[in-house]
Amino acid sequence: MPLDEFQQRLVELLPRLRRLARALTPQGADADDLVQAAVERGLARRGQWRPETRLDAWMFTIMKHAWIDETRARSRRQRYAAPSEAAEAAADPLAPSLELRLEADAVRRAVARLPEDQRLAVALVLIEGLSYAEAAAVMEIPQGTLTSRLGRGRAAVMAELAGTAA
Amino acid sequence: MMLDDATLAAFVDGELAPDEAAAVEAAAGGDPALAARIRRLRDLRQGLAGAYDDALTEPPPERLLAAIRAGGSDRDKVVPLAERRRLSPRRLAGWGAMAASLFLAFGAGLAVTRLAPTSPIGAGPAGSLVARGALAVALDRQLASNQAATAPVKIGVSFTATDGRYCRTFLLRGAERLAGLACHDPAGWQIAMAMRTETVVGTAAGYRTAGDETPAPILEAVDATIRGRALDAAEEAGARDAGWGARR
Repeated sequence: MPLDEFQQRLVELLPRLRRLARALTPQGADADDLVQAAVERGLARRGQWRPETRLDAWMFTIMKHAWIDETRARSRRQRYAAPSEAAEAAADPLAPSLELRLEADAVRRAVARLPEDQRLAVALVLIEGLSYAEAAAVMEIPQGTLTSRLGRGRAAVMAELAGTAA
Repeated sequence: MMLDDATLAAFVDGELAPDEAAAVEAAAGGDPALAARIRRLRDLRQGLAGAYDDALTEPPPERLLAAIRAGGSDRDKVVPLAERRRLSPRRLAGWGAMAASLFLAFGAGLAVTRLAPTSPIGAGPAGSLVARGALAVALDRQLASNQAATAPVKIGVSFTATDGRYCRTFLLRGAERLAGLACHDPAGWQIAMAMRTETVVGTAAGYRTAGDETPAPILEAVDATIRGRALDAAEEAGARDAGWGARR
């Protein structure tokens, strides 16, 4: 049975869904589980997608819900944990001329250390390239909240990447 | 020109208005420190995107492609274990209880309207509730892929349930807005669940319910009972033309 158009577009979207899932999920093996959960939910709810809207943003929203559902317990534990090293690094500004360490491993570690709300904002805007308005819609938050989470997340990643080089 | 981090970040993210962006560029032209800050922000963006690039070039694993295919038209494949579990009597009983509680939420309103000859929902055999009148006609004939925006009944999604019956979600746009789920059997369209939409702010899965959207509790009932994926337009038309006979 050939794929219908919706399925075909999901296949085309898979690489970006996997990229977002990897940014959200520190453990690589979990990332494809998250993609699969999002794909299954998306197919079950395909009747709700309006063809005049963007499928990527719609699927990102579904993935966000799947991610929240699956990590709710974990994120609760994190919220009550001691302040992360990334946050401490952010409070300790380094010389702005310092080169950033941008090796993929270091970048992924820094992203993984972000609190989940900041990680989602960083992933949608800086990794997936959504506009502020699009990312705020996916996260279902006001744009001002998005820019503040993005700002804190970006500052923390930058401080960590500069700090590890020091 | 003093520029704060948020403004520079918005500049690098392409979120400044053209005149603001031009001002930042002009300022950076004569200010090496500012230019260096902008370069760092650009490097960071590039580094972030680059760190996850391999997801874009790796071929996706077969299981993800299979998940997409499984949502296709080949519903008659082997039913996965998770779905077979859904057939258990316990699960179905729970579903009935859920529907019952939602009906209770109607209160006296439904009890009265049920008796009215024009009510869209009436008593069926053995205490069941069946669609009547315009609702029954719409469930029988109307295609989700081809319906007027002003039609009194809006059909949402049509699918095969795990017990083989065809089921459809619906929305009544009359004075009393009802959303529901009906499944076809030889006695007609059995109302599996129904609810007033105004009172629902269902966000069980984080989905807002507004206007013509199907309320979250009904979508959850769909998720719990669907076999495979929803019918596409051609399958919906085919099922209608075949009289909605159950698929075993």
